[in-house]
Amino acid sequence: MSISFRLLIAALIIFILAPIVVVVFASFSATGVAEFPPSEWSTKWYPHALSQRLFTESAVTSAWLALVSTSIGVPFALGAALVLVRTRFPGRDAIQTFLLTPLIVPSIVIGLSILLAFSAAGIREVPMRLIGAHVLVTFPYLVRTIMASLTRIDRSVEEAALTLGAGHFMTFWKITVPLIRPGIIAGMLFAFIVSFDNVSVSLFLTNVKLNTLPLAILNYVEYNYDPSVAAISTMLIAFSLLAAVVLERLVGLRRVVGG
Amino acid sequence: MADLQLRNLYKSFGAATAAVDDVSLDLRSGEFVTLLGPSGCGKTTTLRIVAGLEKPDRGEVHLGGAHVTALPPFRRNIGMVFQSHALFPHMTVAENVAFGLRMRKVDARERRERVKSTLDLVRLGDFLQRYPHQLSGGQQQRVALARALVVSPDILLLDEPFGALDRKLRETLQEELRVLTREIGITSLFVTHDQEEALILSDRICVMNTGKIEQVGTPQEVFEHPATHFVADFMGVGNFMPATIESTAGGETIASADGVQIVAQGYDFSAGDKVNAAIRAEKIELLTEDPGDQANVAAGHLVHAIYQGANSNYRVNCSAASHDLTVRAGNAGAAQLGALEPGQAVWLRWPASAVRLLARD
Repeated sequence: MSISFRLLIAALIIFILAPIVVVVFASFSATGVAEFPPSEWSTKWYPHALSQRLFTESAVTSAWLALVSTSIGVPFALGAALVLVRTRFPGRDAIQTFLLTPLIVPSIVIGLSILLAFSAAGIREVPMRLIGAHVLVTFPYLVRTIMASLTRIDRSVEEAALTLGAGHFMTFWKITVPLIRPGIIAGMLFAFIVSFDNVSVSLFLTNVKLNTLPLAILNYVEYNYDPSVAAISTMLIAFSLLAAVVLERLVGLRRVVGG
Repeated sequence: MADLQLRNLYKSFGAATAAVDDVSLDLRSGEFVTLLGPSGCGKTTTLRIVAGLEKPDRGEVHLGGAHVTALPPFRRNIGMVFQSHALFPHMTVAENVAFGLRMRKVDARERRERVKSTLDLVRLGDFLQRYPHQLSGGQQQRVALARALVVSPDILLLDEPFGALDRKLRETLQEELRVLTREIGITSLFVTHDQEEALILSDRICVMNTGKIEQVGTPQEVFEHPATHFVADFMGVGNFMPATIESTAGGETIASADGVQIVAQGYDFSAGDKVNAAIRAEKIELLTEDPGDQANVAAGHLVHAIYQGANSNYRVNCSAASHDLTVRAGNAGAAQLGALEPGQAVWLRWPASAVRLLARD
């Protein structure tokens, strides 16, 4: 690798990391306004942020929402991936593309469409609306990662199980599922993150009483510019890093991200 | 251990020609039979039909006297070894081998004993707790063999199990497999495209081409007496001379190919029949002086000589043959042949016993 190429890579990494670093520094400023670099240092905004029910309640809502919508999506995504990878039928490619549309259509459009659809169907409960919408936006991530790991399975491994006396269900449960487990975990992680930081779809569906964390942050910075938002953001960054480390220990991050 | 009968199997995947076209074959209990042929000849499809992994369009499979054509693989008592090993990567060697016993609800103690004794049989008794990725290619294939054998299957099915291994390892494993299958007396159906492998392993060889059986016979029969042009070619005969039958008398058949008189022993042709005279390269003698007017001698010019270690191959251009003829001679006692120049006039001579006459259409 030449020196100039190394410099280019370094510049890119700095470009990507700089905003994150700024937020982390800003969260430690002692003044009432988030500033970079801080003129005085303090950790007081962390307890301050955690004492605000706006943040804590919406964080719980977001985590709960991400978990429930991801868990609901997994069995459906598994079924869809199995059909799409293992069978050949007319219209298969069309269905595959259709399942991935939430990745392609602008999410603000999806938010609006879901709002209109729920209204037309008479679904008014906010939790129901949120779960339904988040299952929809996270589904393509689950299907895609599970499909990727299904495609990589050597079919003769499953055939070997069949010849050894395992029925179709046993073969699926004892062989197929363990082999695609990294794909399922990766898909769930992606889906969780996508749901957790979704703004554009939730925007249409929440109300004053039930808010998600990204929307709470958005609301907060409209009227306040103190470093507690930076403190929340720093905690989210730390949380993501922790998740990455745990995943690395559990299944090997490279295997998961590499698909 | 059981006998296997295949009755008029037919299977098409929608292509112009059927993958398996009217295949009937009987395996006696304890017999080792190889399906041999080039890729796409239907040998693997036939094996997969026996395993129940493919359903034949027509025809029947009988295993140990039972009609199993309609049964799925997990209801047939079989053991199968795949080219890709197909070990379960998330299970240890012991768990891999125990899988079939677990599915058969064998209790834990007996399971442990049978896993251990079968792995001892393939000399991997010390590798119980390893994972497949920690093993070499040869060890993986031995585990696959143990996994197939531990359930005491009626028949052992092997789909090019040594295809992915290097030559030396392949030879070792071929020998081991030969000894092992004879020792436990298991009926085995083996698939390969490697004629040498088929010759080494088999009690009988079934040569297949375009979905059909060309010849079934012992290794000697198939090698020495190929029944068709395809079998002769596939078994590496190498030299074919188009000829016409002149006469048959007293157990001798005389044919002529562009002035070369060919004498063969036996055969039931009549005068005027078109045949191919097939002669193995190693049965031909290369002469540098004209032996005079004789039968089974052809004159030609040396095209080139290729040194191959123990042997040399000499390509000779003869007017009697459709292609150049090949002579293979050992290098040990052939010092005088080393000095041959391309373009030099040479004579080929072969004994009548080396000539195979094959009908030509």
